[in-house]
Amino acid sequence: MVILGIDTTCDDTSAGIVANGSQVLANVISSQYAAHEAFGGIVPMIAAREHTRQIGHIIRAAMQEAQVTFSDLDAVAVSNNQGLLLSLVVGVSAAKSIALACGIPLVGIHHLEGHIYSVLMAHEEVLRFPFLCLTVAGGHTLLLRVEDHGVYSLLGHTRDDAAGEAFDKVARRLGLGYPGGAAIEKLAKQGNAAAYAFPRPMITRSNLDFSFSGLKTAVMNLLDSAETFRKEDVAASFQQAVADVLVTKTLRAAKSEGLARIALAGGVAVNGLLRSQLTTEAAKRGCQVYLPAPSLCMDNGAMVAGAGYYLLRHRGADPLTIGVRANAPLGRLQVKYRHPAKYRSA
Amino acid sequence: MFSLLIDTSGPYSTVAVAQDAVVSGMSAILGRPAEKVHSQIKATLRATGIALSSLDSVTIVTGPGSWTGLNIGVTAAKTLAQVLRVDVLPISSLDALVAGRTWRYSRLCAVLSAGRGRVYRAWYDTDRGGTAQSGHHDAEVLTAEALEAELAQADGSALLIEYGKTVGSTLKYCSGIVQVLRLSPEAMIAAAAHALPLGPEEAITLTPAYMQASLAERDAKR
Ligand SMILES: [Fe+2]
Repeated sequence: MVILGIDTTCDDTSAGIVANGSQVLANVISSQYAAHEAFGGIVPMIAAREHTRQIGHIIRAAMQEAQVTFSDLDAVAVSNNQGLLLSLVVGVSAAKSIALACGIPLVGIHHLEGHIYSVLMAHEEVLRFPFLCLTVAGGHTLLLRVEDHGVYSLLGHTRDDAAGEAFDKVARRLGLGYPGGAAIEKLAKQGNAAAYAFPRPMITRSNLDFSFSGLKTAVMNLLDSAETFRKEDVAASFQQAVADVLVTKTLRAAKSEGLARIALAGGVAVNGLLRSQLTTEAAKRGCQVYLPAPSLCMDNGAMVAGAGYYLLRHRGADPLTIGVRANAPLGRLQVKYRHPAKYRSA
Repeated sequence: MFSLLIDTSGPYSTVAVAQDAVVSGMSAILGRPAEKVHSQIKATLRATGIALSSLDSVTIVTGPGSWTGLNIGVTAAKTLAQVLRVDVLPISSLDALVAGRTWRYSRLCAVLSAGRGRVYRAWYDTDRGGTAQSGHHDAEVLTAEALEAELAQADGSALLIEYGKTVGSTLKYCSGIVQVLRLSPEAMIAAAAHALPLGPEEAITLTPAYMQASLAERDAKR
């Protein structure tokens, strides 16, 4: 079964083609970074225009890469929930047009389901329900209990900045390039993670919520006040603080929920320190960590196609009349969407 | 020749099917194009008994108009064309306002609200038969005051044609006003007769004709 997945949730236009839920035939992503850079933040009107300009190219490129034609598609999946409304409508309009013109089923998915399934796609045989899923990205940081296909409950989420947002803001302040996460990780390799004792917000609290705004501010204050500092040490110390908080809270959630399987998803899931620290610490407690393919971590169409494959079987196809929602419920949880601040100055 | 016509630029989404420039079926729905326009296309085709696969072209109103609506409509039209391998005929909402009917005025001023007291406007001359002449590419965004001054200069010879409610009711120097609530399929067909057809590959890059920058772009310029 060949599924085309489309994601235009925020500022990346992406299309992926996946066979039988896990075989990624193509995954094409077009970043709008250049279009928004001059404005210091994502401009929704420009995002919509850029999605409209790019969507046909991206779909065509994905089909060429996968060596399929429209007549080979068995279904089309699209993120219609969670994101910028003006961006979501473009992907949804394209997906509906393809469903209509090809006479194939349409599957609307919640963007966060895409991230969850990015892990399931790689570990279909072994990642059994229920499991714990930590999703960390520029727009979200949350812990979910994944009960079954399409059944989730929220255990904790960030009360202010997303972890990826903190990475991007610190990177920007350090004068590193974009994307910020990769730049900080690279620099941190030459730094001393114990050089600065940055706060680990809410690490001792018993709840499973996160906060990264205070940590970000502490880094900014240091950079503003210190006469000299090594960028490498700042990057390493900051990255360590983020990883400590994420790992501690995730393992606490695994314990309280009695879950031994932990999935890590989202753009920050490519971070080497987070991957290794979570895997090692989880193993000490008898837990197994499941990671997505690095190419499926950031927002992409393939994870949407993967989610579409499973959800089509478990939830069925959607009518052509599905709408879009900025803050959409995911299972029992109402996800509050925050505009990723990755391009805004700190 | 079968053509599909789509307009999502205004408060109503209009979908029509035409055979050899004669309307064979149409539907107009108020609001929510993100949800409704595709099922509207499906229903209109079904009602006329014309299969999607027998379409020869898709006509789309590219703007100016509702930012959200235009992105939905343009994406729908060009994606359908991409799958069906047919041409896209892009038309202007202002052209469609004056096309497809005859007027008793020698000059026509088509306007539609651009928000914040501004309007999109384009001027058209009519021929002896009262048909608006195509090929006027002077469309721009104006303040209500600037529009007022232009109409005063036209000195009673011009008819104001507004798409929905704009600023017409507040104008002093306006000899006549026609309010159009939605673009008719006949008007779209007439405007499409002058459109430059885009092949499915060319149409891939088509974006809405907004004619005005977003606030962020305007702020950045200052
Ligand atoms: Fe995401």
